[in-house]
Amino acid sequence: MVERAKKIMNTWIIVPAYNEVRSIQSVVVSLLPYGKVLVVDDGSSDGTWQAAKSAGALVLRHIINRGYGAALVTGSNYAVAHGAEIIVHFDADGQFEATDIPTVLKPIMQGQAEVVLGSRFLGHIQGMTTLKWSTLKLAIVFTWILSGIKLTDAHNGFRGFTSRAWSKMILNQDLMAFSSEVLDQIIETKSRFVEVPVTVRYTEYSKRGSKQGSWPALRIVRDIFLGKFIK
Amino acid sequence: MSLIQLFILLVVLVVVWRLYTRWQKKEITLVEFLEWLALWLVAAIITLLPQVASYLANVVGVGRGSDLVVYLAILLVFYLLFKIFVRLERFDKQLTKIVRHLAINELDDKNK
Repeated sequence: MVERAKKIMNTWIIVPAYNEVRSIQSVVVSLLPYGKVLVVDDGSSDGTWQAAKSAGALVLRHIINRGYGAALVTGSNYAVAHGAEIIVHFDADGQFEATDIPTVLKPIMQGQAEVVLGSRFLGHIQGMTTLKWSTLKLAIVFTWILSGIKLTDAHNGFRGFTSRAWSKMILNQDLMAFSSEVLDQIIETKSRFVEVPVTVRYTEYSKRGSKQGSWPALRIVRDIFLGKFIK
Repeated sequence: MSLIQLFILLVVLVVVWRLYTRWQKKEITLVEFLEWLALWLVAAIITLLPQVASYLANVVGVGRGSDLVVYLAILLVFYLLFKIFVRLERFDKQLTKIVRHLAINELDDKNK
């Protein structure tokens, strides 16, 4: 299955990373069997870039921090321009399992979907706090109301795209609201999508202080509204 | 002339002088200079002749001239704030574009 994926379709895995030197190497190594690994170092100051490179990834470097969405667009556009047929988005902090990648690729390779969204609520969750659980459930309802798209998980960074589907999308959100914008664009571009179960594992490391301040969810809501307001 | 009138006029004078020098140094365009000049001239006129504001307040149905001035000033401030906000968003987008461009060039140059 894995070998087939690599042979049949050119798969690139995009990993946005901001100061993830502690986890990036093991993440890159775990991903290498599944495709070309492209880390986008989003202005890290801790040597994330060297660590990713020595682990065997291609590395794009933002000279200053521009945010999660900005890094994913940089990486994905680069991949498409260099012949990627499938793009996978994957987090750098070790929350996801590389072994879930075939699950994400399968609907695309079988022609069932152009966009695949990972869902932790269909799959497995380890070590999630009640606050995080409540915020995510709220985000699902919020997404349902705003985008009219009913999902089991609305803010999961594990996604797969065909290059064609990716190229049709217009994505302007540089920060975390990017995830909501992707859902909007799936509807806008009428891309066929499917959710697949993935495992999300919260570790002490992944739970450390958010880099967006103490209320990232509120920031996301703010950016969604402003984004709709100022086109 | 009361002390507050004198003070406001002094501030207006300083601001207009600064506007003028910035226009002379071509830091702002003629249109921008005239826009700001008009705004500060209105401020000066209302300071010198408060009855103008009172008259206008009467016309539009606001109690006092000074109230009208405050309402308009708040509206103007919100408008400018909005403009600055939109511009900041645009700068943000442009900055991202530059950073992206540099990142892609760096990797492509290495692979040549």
